[in-house]
Amino acid sequence: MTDTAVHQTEDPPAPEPPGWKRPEVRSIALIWLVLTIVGECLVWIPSWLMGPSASTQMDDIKQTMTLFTAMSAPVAAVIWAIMIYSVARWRYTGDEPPEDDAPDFRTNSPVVLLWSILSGVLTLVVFIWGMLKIAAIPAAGGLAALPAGAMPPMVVEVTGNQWVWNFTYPELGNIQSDVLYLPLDRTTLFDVTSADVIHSFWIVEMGVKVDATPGQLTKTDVVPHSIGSFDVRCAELCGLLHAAMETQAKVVTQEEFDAWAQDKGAEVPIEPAAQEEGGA
Amino acid sequence: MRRLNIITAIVFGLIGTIAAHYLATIIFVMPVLEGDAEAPSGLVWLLENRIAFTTMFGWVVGFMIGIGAFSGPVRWVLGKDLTDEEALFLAGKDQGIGRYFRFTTDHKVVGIQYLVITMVLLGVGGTLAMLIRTNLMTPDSAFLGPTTYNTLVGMHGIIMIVATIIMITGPFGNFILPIMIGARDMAFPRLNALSFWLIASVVPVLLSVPFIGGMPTGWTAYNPLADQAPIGMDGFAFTIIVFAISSAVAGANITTTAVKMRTRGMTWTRTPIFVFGVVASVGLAIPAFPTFMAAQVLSGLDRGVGTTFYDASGGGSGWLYANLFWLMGHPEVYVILIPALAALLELTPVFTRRPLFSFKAAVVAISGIVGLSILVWAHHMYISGWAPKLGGPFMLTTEIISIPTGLLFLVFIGTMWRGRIWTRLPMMAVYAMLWNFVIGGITGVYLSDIPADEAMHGSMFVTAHFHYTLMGAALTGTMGALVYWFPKMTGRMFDERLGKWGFWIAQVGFNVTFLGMFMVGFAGQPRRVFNYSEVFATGNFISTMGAYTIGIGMLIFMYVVISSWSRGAIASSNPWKAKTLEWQVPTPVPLENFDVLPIITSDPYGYGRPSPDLAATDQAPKEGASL
Amino acid sequence: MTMTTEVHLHHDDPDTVGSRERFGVALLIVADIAFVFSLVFTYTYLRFLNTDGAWMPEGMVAAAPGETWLVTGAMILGLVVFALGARDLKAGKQPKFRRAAWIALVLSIIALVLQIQQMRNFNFSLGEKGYFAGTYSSSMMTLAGANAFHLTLTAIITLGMANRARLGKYNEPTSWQPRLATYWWLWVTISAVVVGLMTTFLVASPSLPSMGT
Ligand SMILES: [Cu+2]
Repeated sequence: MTDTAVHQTEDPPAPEPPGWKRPEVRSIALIWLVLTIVGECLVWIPSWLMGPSASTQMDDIKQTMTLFTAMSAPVAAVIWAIMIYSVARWRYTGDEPPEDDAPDFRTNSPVVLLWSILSGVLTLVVFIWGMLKIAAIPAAGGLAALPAGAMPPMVVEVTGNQWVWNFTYPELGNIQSDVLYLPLDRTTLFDVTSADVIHSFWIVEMGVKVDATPGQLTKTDVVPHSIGSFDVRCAELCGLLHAAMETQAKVVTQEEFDAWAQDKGAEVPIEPAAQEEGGA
Repeated sequence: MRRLNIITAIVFGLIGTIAAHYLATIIFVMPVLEGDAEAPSGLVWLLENRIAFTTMFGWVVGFMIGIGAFSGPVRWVLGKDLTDEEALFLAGKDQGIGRYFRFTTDHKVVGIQYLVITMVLLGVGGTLAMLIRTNLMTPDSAFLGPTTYNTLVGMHGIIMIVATIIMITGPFGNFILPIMIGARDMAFPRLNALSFWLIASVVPVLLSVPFIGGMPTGWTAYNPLADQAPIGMDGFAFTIIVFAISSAVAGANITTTAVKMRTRGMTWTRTPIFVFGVVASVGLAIPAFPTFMAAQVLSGLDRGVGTTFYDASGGGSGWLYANLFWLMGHPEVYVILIPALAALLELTPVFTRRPLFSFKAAVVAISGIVGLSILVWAHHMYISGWAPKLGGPFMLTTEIISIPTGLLFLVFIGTMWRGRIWTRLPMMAVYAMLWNFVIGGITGVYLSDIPADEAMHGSMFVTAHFHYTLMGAALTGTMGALVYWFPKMTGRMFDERLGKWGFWIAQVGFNVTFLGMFMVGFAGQPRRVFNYSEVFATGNFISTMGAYTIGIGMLIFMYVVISSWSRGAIASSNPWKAKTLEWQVPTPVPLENFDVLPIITSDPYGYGRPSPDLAATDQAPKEGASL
Repeated sequence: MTMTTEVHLHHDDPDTVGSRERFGVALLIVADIAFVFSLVFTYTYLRFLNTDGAWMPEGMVAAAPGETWLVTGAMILGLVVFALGARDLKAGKQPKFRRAAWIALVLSIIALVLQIQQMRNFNFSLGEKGYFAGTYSSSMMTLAGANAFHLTLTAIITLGMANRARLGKYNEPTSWQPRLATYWWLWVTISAVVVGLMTTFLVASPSLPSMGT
């Protein structure tokens, strides 16, 4: 390898063109390829770690995670490949600085340009993807469009209290619950607020998250597509028992939901939810 | 003035504390008692906070009087300017070790003072991290309990934020930068000392927070949660206010020095990249931190005077706080990161024996990041609902930052390309930083995109992400910078044989810790929880083991810093054969750095040439700057 | 400058020092601008939000703008006097600057007293003793307090200027020092005018009350 000093006489920007045939370029490309392949083989991990999905927007989120991870692998691999190669082959060990300096080229305009364009393109892809998905991610972009032909949406008023969630169903005679019951495949609109400090209403497996802010109504919505019991947590530090501000979101069929509501309706009105967990 | 030092400062500080407390009690409480016998509880609460603020104010004012910070302004008003002799005394001439304990104006003394206080803060913050991780080792740990846990999380956060903000611009921006640009001191030496002693005065206030009720809010101190908090919160708010003043003063001083005091011939294209990084950092802090200060002033007024800025029932809003906070909060990330990366950019050519790759790209990248950073604050508020329509625009500005950031990566690997990579510890820090910052940067792109942020916001994923940038990149960079400039600052070589063990153990531990945290973040563990569900047990256990590994590594590293400083091998004036000016002056650096100011004819990256024209030499032509 | 023994205290020429100090003071003013901006943002944002309809709760009367403009008027006058004085100094007329500095000092103190008077006259506490009713009153008091803080600093700086002028510290080559003080005067006056315009013309909230809690 010709990694000894190449002395240019005048004018620093004498380019050492990339020279695709240089041995180090080939080796680095090979390392890059291996790292990229390894990375691409692992792209399922984030989505897997995120667990089951209970709504279409969670599907979107998991898809986003997988896509970004897949896009990241080759990018990280460029840096890491050069790191690995450089420390393996260009290393100098000694107590004193090396006598012979390295080549003195100061820039490589085509590379800088290519690098900038590529990162610009990647940024654009990430941005456009985000904008496309915003429609499905209601907290940040307003409410999601209702799926055509679905049942009329149901409103749930969500109130964060230190340190319990309280759910009110205004269309069902204002029944209250500290467990969130949701009918399957039906759009639910959440009107979220807080009675004390800022909380953040988070249904983990549904990808629903919006802050509960005192004095303000924030809105989000979701169409649960899986039956089951899911985690509701608080995603904004809200004081002493923030960690314990958890409950369940139970997605049931419309019939089961109606039955539950009728049961609950008999108990109206209820004092603000107590500490107890579990079903009604 | 001559008798003032840290002892008198503490004495005056204590007197001020007691006096202020006493006066506040008389002034605020007496009228209430005289009125109706029973004061409403709300008013009592206001008075408690008011007295707490006044007492802290008394401490800082007393301390600053005792250290001699006010003698300058008072003498200015009286028209009694410093004589040369007094100026030299202030600069610490012939005072030996004592000059480190007084209001000394010599930038090198201030640099060392900053270095020590930074290490103390990092040590305290790191210890708190160990306690936090110990509590999180098992799902239902009762090691700390919720009150203590929340306070320690907030303390860890704010201590580390303060420490990392000053960790490059304080020690190296003060000690190294003026020499690097061929100046004899900073533009405003007394403001320089002021900026340090303001921090020194307020650190005890900050550290007292856990003992005066603590703070349940994390370092973000979100309102209205902060409005409920005990008077520990006042200590936090007061610290931020003083710290913001200190940063403004330091920022004006360092920026002016770099812009106005570069020696003859040092055009911007011949100015070392580190100078750009430091100026970007402190320059960005100047407009950014006052908004944080304002947020805390309003918080203090709510707590102590009864305004309703953050109280929804009085027309206030937590969204106001969040906006003011993040207007500072995002630039602050770059205030921390950029100078650390710039320090590594500065030393990479030295250890690759190559010119810095595309100096212009580096400058464009730093400027681009700084410019964009003030337009991205609301990406911390995507899911807050304050302005759903702004999600798209803020997503765009945020993601554009990845372009200049990517350029910085190119500058690093371009400088390493075909270099003679001298594998000393500073260069190893470049490798470690690149590894970590790739991860920190990429996870940042995830969070910048609303679909991903929707799931990850407020989770451990975020915690892991910003530790990869602030610790993995910035603190790693600072460790590299410390080893690099250690010979110049202390006159001794850093013992790399043991030091690199500490360094690499900490790096491995770091990656274990935060990969574990990414796992539980993906799985949906919220941030800042003292207990968690059983499903997160494995990831948290891994994290805690990693954290202990960091602890061991850092202890070794700290030991090496102290032992090398006290009895390391004596360093020559330029052990790395570097070309920037600070390596061309003798070690230890004389009081005014240069007897004759150098003239610069090229940039300091002229490696790889047959006859390297040094950035400057001691034999530079005589320059008439002395009268 | 006399040089003695091995002590080398290097002095830069006044022009260099002057340009340096102007730059530094400009940066400190930038920091203060950011602070005032935060307060202006607070005022306008809370007015826009009108959370719970509590920007101006029922019964709240807006402060009469007259007092604000009285304070601001004194500041404008002080600025003009001081700036003209600094110009005279540059032209070598030291006594004129001396007189201007003293007058400006008096004006800054008058403005400060008027400002404190306005704060005492605010009739905002509708509820319990010591509480503010709503964010309009909170913001007004804070903005007035910030201006009082500005004026206190201005008075101290101007006092220094006047006293140092009395001692003959200022002449043509050092006229940049009063010019620095002019920058400060200019900024605090601008800030008072901007805040005055805002609090005069943007009072009632344009928004309906958002939901109550
Ligand atoms: Cu909560």
